[in-house]
Formats: sequence, structure tokens, C-alpha cells
Amino acid sequence: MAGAVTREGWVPIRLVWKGSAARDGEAFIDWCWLGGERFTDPFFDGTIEIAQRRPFNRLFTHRTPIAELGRWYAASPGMAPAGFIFHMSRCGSTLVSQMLAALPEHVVISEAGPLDRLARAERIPEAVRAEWLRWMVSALGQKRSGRETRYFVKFDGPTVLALPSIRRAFPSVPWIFLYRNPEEVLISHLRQPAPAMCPGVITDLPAIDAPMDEVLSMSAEEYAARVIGRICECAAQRMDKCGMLVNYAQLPEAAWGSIARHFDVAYSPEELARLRQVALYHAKRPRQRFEADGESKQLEVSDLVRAAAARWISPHYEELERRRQTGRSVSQNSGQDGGRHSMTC
Amino acid sequence: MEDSGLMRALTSAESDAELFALVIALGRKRGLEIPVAQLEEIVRVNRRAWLERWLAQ
Repeated sequence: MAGAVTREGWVPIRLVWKGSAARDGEAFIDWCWLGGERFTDPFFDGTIEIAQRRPFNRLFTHRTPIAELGRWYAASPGMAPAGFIFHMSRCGSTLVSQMLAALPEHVVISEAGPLDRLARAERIPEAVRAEWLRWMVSALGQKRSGRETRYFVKFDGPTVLALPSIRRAFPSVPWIFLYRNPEEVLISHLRQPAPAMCPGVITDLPAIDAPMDEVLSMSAEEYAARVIGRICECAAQRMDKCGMLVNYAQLPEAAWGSIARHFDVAYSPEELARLRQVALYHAKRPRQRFEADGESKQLEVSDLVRAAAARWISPHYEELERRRQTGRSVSQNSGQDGGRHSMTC
Repeated sequence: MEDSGLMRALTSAESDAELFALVIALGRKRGLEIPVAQLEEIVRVNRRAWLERWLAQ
């Protein structure tokens, strides 16, 4: 491969579209030098933001056609993912990813913008997107210290809408979907909205099929509830034999219990102690001790919040609960996707 | 990127000024005159691209 350069230590940090992005050659990747650094911050962007302040990256961050990802995939395939984490947002998913990241043997990618954007890019033909997804997951899952043995990916909440495409690209990777009491999740977003809860911010795969003027006339409570409800609905509909449902109430014990078993991980007593230690602290503000906030959130529930949660989220939440409690993970219509692809979970 | 010694030197620079001086010196060795203003402009464009990463494209 004359003229090819190594990508060792480099990470794709941004996906950039030029034109319609319908064909190879119209998508580009921005790269950042991370060297041997691990992803230990609660989110991908946190680790990259620190790296991006280094003089080297300020000058040498650069853009390549997406084909460069493919070249790197062929030259240095990353670790195969051991598990995917999907969630309704504000429901303990960051706690799970932070517990996994506490072990140096784990590579944990938490809500990497370029991966989520690529997964949700419906305008790209399915086969091309699946190939690009494998390239991107491989580039993010490179070994950095040499000690790594397992690789986990947590996606952004709305990316569960692209679950069928992700499953087709990675049919044998076990996955979980985390969820929580609808009112408590809604209150969290009203306190501090995620980008997906603001109309028009995430446009690549709209959660709500309605004209923008109708969307803009909705209350914040209704819009957020409809997005969250759609996320939960999608997870319930797309359950398959590789999927597992986890309620926030099952954390943190599920991290070293049912989730570990689902991801085929066994922890030593020392590793278990490290996971338990992480659970003592706030996942998104790791210097703060964790304090359960369910009761304080319930005190903030207004009639509007209660009504929005009941109408748009609760039916899907109850379906998730029903499936979890009866152990019925496999959807009746999972054969639509599962029939064409072998899943070995 | 293939030259590990060069990468080590470039990645260990602790300030823009230190990095720019190194890049300019390396350029001169290869017969290239790289103006500081050009390096500053690259830094500005790169920073802006990162900060605007969530904007619709």
C-alpha cells in the first residue's frame, strides 16, 4: 500500500457530509491524535475536547475522505464489540458505561458523534452504511495500551431508531436497552434538555413525523415526551434474541449481574470492587457522590408532565416492562430482520 | 505519521509557539517557508470545525 500512512493513535471525531452524501466520496472524516490515551470520560466528546486542546491537534487535526476509514479497517481491524448499549436517555446508561470503563481491559466508546450520525444517516444506501459502520466501529475500537480485551459501545439515545441498520451490520453483538420511570426521565430533560429534545437539532433521523410548524407549536413537555416515547416504542418493537431490557431500578447490581452475563463477561473480586466503587459516584460528575434523585424528580411532576408522560411514553414503558418481566425479549415480528441474518447471541 | 521520532517531537510540544517553531524549522530543512499566519489560520479553522460539530451540514 504505497503512500499509505498509519492511523495508529488517531481517532475519527467528526463525520462531515458534502452534497447529498448518497455516494462514497461525499462523506469525510476529521481525525484527532489521541495516542495511547483511554476513553475514561463519561462521554466521547469529553475525552476528545481535552485532546483537541493539545497544540498538536490544534494544528494537525485534519480531514480525509471516508475511504480512509476503510483503508484503516483493512490494515488494522479493531476489536469486535462485546456489547452495545442503547437507552431512552437519563436512565443510568452512563453509569453502566462508566462502570465498564473502570477496567483498563475495556475500551468503552460513549456516544461518539461520528458513529451516531453515521448510524442515523438513513439517506445512505443500507449496504454502504453497514460497511461504513463496521469501519467506524473498528477505528474507535483500536487497542491503545495493548491490555484491552473487550470493547463496548454506548450509542446516543435517539440512535435506537437506527437499531435495524446497526443489527444488520453487527448481527451477533449482544445489546441492551435501558429505561426508567417516564416522569423522572421527562423531568430530567425539562431541567436540562438533551439536543434530541430540542426541535430541529437532530435532523438526520427525525423521531417525530410531523411538519416543523406543528412541532414548534408543541409544549416542551409534549415534544420531549413524544421523542422519548418513540425511542421506547422502537426498542420494544425491535427486541430480538440478542437484546435484553434493563430497568434503571435494577442498577447498579445488574451491571455485574444480568448485563455482565448477557455480554459474556465474568469479573474477578477485584474488578467487582472497582465497579462497585464507580457506582458510589455520579456517573456524569464523577467527583460527586451519587444520590438517588427519583423522589426529588417526582416532586417536580406537574399535571402537564404527568399527562404527557402518560400519553406518549407510558404505553411503551409498560410494554418494555411486560417484556422484561415475562422474559419475552424476542419480538413477534423479529423474523423480518432476523430471518435474513444469522444471530448467534 | 510514519516517522515515530518526528511524531514524538510534534505531539510533545506544550504550546502553539513551541509547535509552530518546530514546524517552521522542519519546513526550512525541506526548503519550505511556512508563515506563522498560515499555521494560526489552520488552528482557527480546526477549532471552529470542532466547536461546530453539532451544526447541521
